[in-house]
Amino acid sequence: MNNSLEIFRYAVVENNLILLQGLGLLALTRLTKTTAEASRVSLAILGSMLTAGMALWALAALVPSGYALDWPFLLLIAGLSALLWQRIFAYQQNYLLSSAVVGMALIGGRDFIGGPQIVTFAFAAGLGVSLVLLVVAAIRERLDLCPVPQPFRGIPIVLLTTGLLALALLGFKF
Amino acid sequence: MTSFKQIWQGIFPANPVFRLMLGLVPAVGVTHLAWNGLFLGLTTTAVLVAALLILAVLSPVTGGRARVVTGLAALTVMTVIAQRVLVVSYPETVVGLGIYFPLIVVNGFVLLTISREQPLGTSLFTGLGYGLGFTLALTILGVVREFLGLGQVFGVPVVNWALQPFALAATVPGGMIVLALLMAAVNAVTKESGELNE
Repeated sequence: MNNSLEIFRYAVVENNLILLQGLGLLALTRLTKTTAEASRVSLAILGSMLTAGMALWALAALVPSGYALDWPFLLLIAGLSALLWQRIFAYQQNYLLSSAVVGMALIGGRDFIGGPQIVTFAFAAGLGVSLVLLVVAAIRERLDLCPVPQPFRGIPIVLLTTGLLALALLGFKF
Repeated sequence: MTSFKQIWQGIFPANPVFRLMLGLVPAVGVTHLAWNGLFLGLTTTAVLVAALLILAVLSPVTGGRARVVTGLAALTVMTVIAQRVLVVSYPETVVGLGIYFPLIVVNGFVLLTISREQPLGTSLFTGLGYGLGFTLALTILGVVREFLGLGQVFGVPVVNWALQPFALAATVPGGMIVLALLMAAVNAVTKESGELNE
């Protein structure tokens, strides 16, 4: 995977972190009540993914060879980046730390995306996540006007909607 | 509250997946096989309890500050140890869990338990209860998804229908749908609404 366009296709469509890997569900279920809220968290996720990607690229030279794609290194760098952006956006809960950003780094490691490509991958993955968060938020705003049965209200209907949304992308995967 | 009550609280009244709606990532990511759910649930419980013990030992040194960062480090160390130990006896399962094994460290309910300042006894029993509740939820979800998606339970074929299995249930999108339906079923039985947990 050398071509940026290929990385974009891989990260946004084939391996969309939320829809096809099931990551970042905490932000998806808690922070998509309005489009404004969703765009704020999208920005935070995009920022922390880019920071994590750049840090992973820059720091890879400092760790002994063979460990740069090992998960403890990836997890700690991505985790610290997420904590930093949580502080910048003043989130009281670990919305960024839980999964999407860390998951991006781990998938990068799993699929041997190293060097400068990890920055492109981080940006593309962040874009894929933001897109889903915004779409789900827009759907949720519409859902507020619908008579949703009592047991489905809140998180279950969001998960159901996201699952149906993900079905569309499944078509590109197989 | 007695210790038994604290554990019970995490298993049903405050089940991490069905009631607190935390830790949803492994719940949709790995439970296409029931065994994966059980395995990951028990590992998460063990890692959480061990990390809580490490935090309790370290808290006089760190002075209670930077609890999340210390917790993150303790969880990472325990997860590395768990992976090294388990990969010897269950290599296929650990490899099969892939990125979801390291994600134990940033699991929503694990971080919630770690970040709460509580006396050691209370935090241990709460952690144990949440862990067991999480294991139970993942196993139930795994049994349902494996049955629907592959027509088997814990690897044992249980149906010999002429009907093809419903393969969607074994994918991540199918996992989200099955999880949503189970959550709604729990809400319907307990007569509560999902909105309360946001």
